[in-house]
Formats: sequence, C-alpha cells, structure tokens
Amino acid sequence: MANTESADIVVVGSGVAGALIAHQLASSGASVLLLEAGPRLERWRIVENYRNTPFKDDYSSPYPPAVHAPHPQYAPPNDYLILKGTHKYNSQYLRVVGGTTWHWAAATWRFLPVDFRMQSTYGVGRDWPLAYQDLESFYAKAEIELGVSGPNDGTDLGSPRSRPYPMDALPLSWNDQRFQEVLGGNGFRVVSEPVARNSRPYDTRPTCCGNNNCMPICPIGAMYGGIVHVEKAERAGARVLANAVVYKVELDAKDHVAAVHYKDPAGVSHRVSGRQFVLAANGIEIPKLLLMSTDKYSAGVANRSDQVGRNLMDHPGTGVTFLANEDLWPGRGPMEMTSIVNLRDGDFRSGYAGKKLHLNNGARVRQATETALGMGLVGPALDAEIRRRAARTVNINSFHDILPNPYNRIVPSSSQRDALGLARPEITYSIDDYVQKSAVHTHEAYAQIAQLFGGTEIYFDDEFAPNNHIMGTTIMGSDGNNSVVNADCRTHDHDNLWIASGAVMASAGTVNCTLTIAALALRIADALQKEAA
Amino acid sequence: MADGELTSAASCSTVPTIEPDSSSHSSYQAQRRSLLLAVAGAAAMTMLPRWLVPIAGAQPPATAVTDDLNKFLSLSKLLTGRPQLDTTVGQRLYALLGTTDRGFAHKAAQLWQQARLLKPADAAALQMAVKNDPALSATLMSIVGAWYRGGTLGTQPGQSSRVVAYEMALGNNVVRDVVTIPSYCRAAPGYWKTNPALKPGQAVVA
Repeated sequence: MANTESADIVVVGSGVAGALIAHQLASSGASVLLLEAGPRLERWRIVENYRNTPFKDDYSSPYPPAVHAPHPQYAPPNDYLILKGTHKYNSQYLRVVGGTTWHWAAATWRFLPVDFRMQSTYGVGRDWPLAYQDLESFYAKAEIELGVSGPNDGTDLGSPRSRPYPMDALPLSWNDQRFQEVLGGNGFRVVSEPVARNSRPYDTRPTCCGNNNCMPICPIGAMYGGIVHVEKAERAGARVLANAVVYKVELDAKDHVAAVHYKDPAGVSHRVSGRQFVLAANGIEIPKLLLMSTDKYSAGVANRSDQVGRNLMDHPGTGVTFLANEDLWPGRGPMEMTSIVNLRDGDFRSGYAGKKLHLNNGARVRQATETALGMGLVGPALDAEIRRRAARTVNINSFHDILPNPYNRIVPSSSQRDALGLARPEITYSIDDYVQKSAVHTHEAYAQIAQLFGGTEIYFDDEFAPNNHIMGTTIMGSDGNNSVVNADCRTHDHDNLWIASGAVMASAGTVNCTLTIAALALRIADALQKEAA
Repeated sequence: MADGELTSAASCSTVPTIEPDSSSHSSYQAQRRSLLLAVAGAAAMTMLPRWLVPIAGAQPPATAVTDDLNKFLSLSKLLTGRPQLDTTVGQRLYALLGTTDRGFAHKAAQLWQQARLLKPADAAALQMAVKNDPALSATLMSIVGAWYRGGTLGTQPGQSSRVVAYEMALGNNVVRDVVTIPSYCRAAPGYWKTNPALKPGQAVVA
C-alpha cells in the first residue's frame, strides 16, 4: 500500500501526553504528525452541549461518541466496552482532539517517592525501573507546561520539590475551608490540592472564575486541557489529522516499526510511515492496537512478555454523602480544591491499599432539586428544601491504590466490532482484598467525618467506581520478559516505538495520574530529541 | 437578588443567553447583547455562532400565543408560586410535555379547570385538592418538575429526557443568590472564599 503520510515523529493520540511530545518535537524542528481517532470539537460547542444535555452526571454526554471512533458512554449506554469479571471497569475516556483532559478535576499530584518502590518497601506490587528523583525535574517541567497552581505556603505533600508551583493556590471555597477546619483537629490532614487551574492569567489563559464546571468542560479555558498543547504543536508546525483511527502497527524485517495504518470514517485505509512512533492513545486503546497488530507476531506488537493489556489498574473509589448541620454551600469556586492526604502512605500498605480522600465542591443543586421534587413538595416548601439540601450536602470520594495483577486485562474482542469493523475492547477486572480491606477502613473514616459534621441521611456508596485513571496495560520494567516498556517508555521489543500513557505506570499510587503521565511524556520528548541529534 | 456577586457576574459572564424579562439584570444583558450585535453588524450575523444569534421568535407576537399556552402559563404561575414566568420557556415546556405525554394537554386543561373552580390559595392547596386523582397529581408534579428542571427527566421507559431552558430552570433560580449555575461565572475570581451566609452588603469580593 502506498504511503498516505510520512513524518519524522508519528504520534498516535492527541491527549495531554501525545500533544506535549508533538509540541516539543515540532518546536525542535522535527516533522511531526499527530493522529487522532476522534473529531475536533470546539469549546463553545462542548459548553452548549453540556447546557443542553439532560444527562449532566455523565461527563461524556457533551462529547457525543463518533460513529467511526466510539468511546464509552453510559447515559444512555452505548456498550462500547465489553465488561467482564467480578467488578465492572466502566471507565470513561474521550476520543476527540485534545483527549480526556477536556473533562477532569485538573488535579496534578506528584507521586510519593515510595510509590515507585512498592515491592522493595512493602513487598507488594512492582517497583518502577526509575526513581522519583529521575522524574522530579520532569514533574517540575510538566507543572510549568500545564500551568499548575498549588500550595506555595510550605505545605509538604511528601513529594520533594526543586522549585515552587508556577502559580500560588486559589483561595479555598467556604465549603473547603470548613472541611479543613472541622477535620483538621480530628486526625485528618486536609491540604490544598495542586491543580492545573489558573490562579492568575497564565500562558494566555484567564484566571479561574469559579464556573464550577471543570467536569465536564471549563467554559473559559482557565483549566488546562490537552487541546492547549495540540494547538501549540500546530503553531510549531505539527500536523494534526483528526478522524484517523489507527488500527495496525506494521513491523519491518528488523522489528522496527515501519508504519501505522489508519482508517478514515469511510473505512478507507491509509499508511503512515515515520522514523519514530509514539503511542499515546490511553491504556485501553493502546494495548488494543498492539494486540490487533498480528501480521508478524500472533501475540501482537511489543508483546514478547505477554504483558500487553495486562495489569490494568485504576483507582477504585467509594464515597459518602450526607447532610451537614451547617450551611456549607458547595458549588462556589472550582469543583475540587482539597484532599485528605494522611492515608496515602504508611506501613499498612504491606497489607492494604493507601488512599486519598477528596471533598466534592461541585454544586448540589440538581441533586437537591430532584430529591425535593421526589418528596412531592411544591411552592415555598419545595424552594426551602432545595436550598437546605444544596447548602448542606457533603460528598466525599476516594482513590484506592490497586496492585498490578496480570489477570486484570484488556483484549480486543474476538467477536464484537465497532462501525469500522475494528475489535471493541473487552475488559476483565476484579478488585482484590488489598483494596477491599482498605475500603472497609475508608468507610469508617467516612463515618467519622459524617459524625464531625453532625451528619444526617448518611449514604455510603461502598460499590467501587472507576475514576478513569487507566494505568498498567503496557507496564514499565527493566526486564523485557515481564514488562512492555523500559524506564524511558521505549518498548523492549521495538526500538523506535514509545508509549506515552498511564499504560506504562508500574504502580497506581493514590493520586490522579495525569501529572505523572505528562512528566513521563516530557521525558520521552527529551529522549526523542537526543535520538534525532 | 442583585447583590454584589451578581452585579460583577455580568462583567465576566462568558455567554449571554435569553434572559427572563423579570430578571433584575436583564436590561444589562440586553444592552450587552445589542452592543455585541451592533458591533458585529447585520452582514456578519451569519458568521456568529448559533448561540449568539437571538432565537427567532424568542418573544412571539401576541397572536401566536395560543389560548392553551396562556392557560398553561397561568397554571404554571400558580404551581410554581411565581407571579412572572418566561413566556418562551413556558412555550418550550408546554410543547415538550406534550411530546412526553400525549394526554398532557388534556390533563393540564383539567387541572386548570380545577384551579378555576376551587380557587386554591397556592400550589399546595391544589395539590391537596387533586390528591385522590393519580393522573392529575402526576400532571401537577410534571409541570412543577419541568419548570424546576428546565426540561424533562424521563423516569419511565419511553419518556424522553430533554433540557429546553438550562440556566432558567427554577431549581437554579432558587439558589442563584449563592451558587453559580455550573458553566456560568457569577463574580470575580476568589469570590468563593467568603462565607455565603454573610449578607450581600457584608460580602467581600476578592
């Protein structure tokens, strides 16, 4: 097949990881082609989609899945992911230009140094083949690229820093202030969360004015999203090709990647050759692509270890909702500002999962309205009940650190296809005792917090929910027999194939993974630049 | 309602939309929209994104407002306890409820008849009066729900879920002195650090 396109650097996936690499390489003078399966959406359209959707609890709702590049949607369900196992891995991600950081809480945590050494410290999970200090300068660089505001007041979050946050933290909402005050003296450590959200004009984007809509869309771009670096990459000369669904990685006789093949929405196939290839299409679509690429090896590309698609992780979450005995008024300011961090680490991690708990500062008006209407109220009684519930509802959620387990995996379905005839992802997932034990303790912590607020109508949501932190499925390690990429995120099997994604992460940690993904991506960009030099 | 936060909200609101006539800040918004459109010029109208172009017939001529719609609006004012409701929103909700429930227009008319007959003091009194009629009780709550949701939420198979008036949903209106309507900006950055229980005059906007 004739080449349709060619570039020095071919990046598959235009989310934060792929866009950062495309930007840096294009800025250094390389020819860069960024392929994205989904369409390009404009911010104003997403905002209007949000306002007009009746399914506001489904953050995918303003991003209707493309027929040719579906992504998971749950209200109404499109059943894109085939879910098996004892726990449903009903995660979300977006296949659109800019990727899933169109909707996120913008939490930009660094891992703890010990998160990289879980096996040697606690005898569980895996060690990374790199240490925190290998990544520190890239964490710092990622914070500058994304524009992170954080507690520059000396708050120690356990991850040593070489420089301050690029921006000071935003002032806490009244809700978050009260959370910090009430919990602070009672055994919980509540801190300001580092976030990729502007506390002052930064990088041509405005200061957050508290639209309280980080998920599913920041209307004013005060919150960072991958689209920022997509557009920067384009200005630096990278070409972005939307609606290009990569379905095959082609190897040459020497096991280098020669090309990737994509289908356009009409189903016509195109070949893209290049020197270096970066897969940055998230921890579900990347392993699916590698496992579908069976022309040369029946086990797929980069899969000598048989670990591609395995070790699927997330941060299983549980929650609690209750009514406080005072007016807190969530819904003023950004949707998330504080976290409880004293449960992230300790000797207990040899027996059960560490975790982070965080307060939801999203407006509760819709839920309050539904509840009050459900009570059959009308007139002033209805208004009063909506106000009471909107003012007093407390909602807290958690991320539990799950261990990499080869039986938790994603494979291309052998029978189920999408509209282009490509396999849909089939996921088998179970949450083991390591997390379950921790969740029992989390439940107790929730009960204690509810008590501190004189909570009533306490509702524990003990069913694990995924948090869309897709990790582990092309796991990093020093041994090519049991891992997919090395410490540089280069595949062990193919020296011009790199993976920029949470898929490479060898442990899940207790915090949102985007900053770690961004730091690893910038490290890949440096390595690619050195290769080119 | 026009506290310090809302006043400054207008200056950083990103998206002007149809404003209720009864809103205390509608005149500012209207001026702002007029200005935007004047600057854009008639020739550029086709270049404007859809949401910036005033919806045709947003305020329909009197002849287009049907008798049924007027009755629905009067009934809605009673059921929501609001002396003023937006006609355009009412028109949209009336049409929407009709598509969700084919018997809606008839039941709404019945409910209006009851209201005329019984002259209830408020929504709760009418609710009490029809409590033994499941169909009318459900219709009453569907009208209230539609105004508070700004649309419908399909709870039964076959029922549709639709939003026709997001920011003008009464559920949002009930708390608009305190909480932003998600996706809108209500005040200067940092306004959220103050205790919202403080009276507007006491509120310190950062």
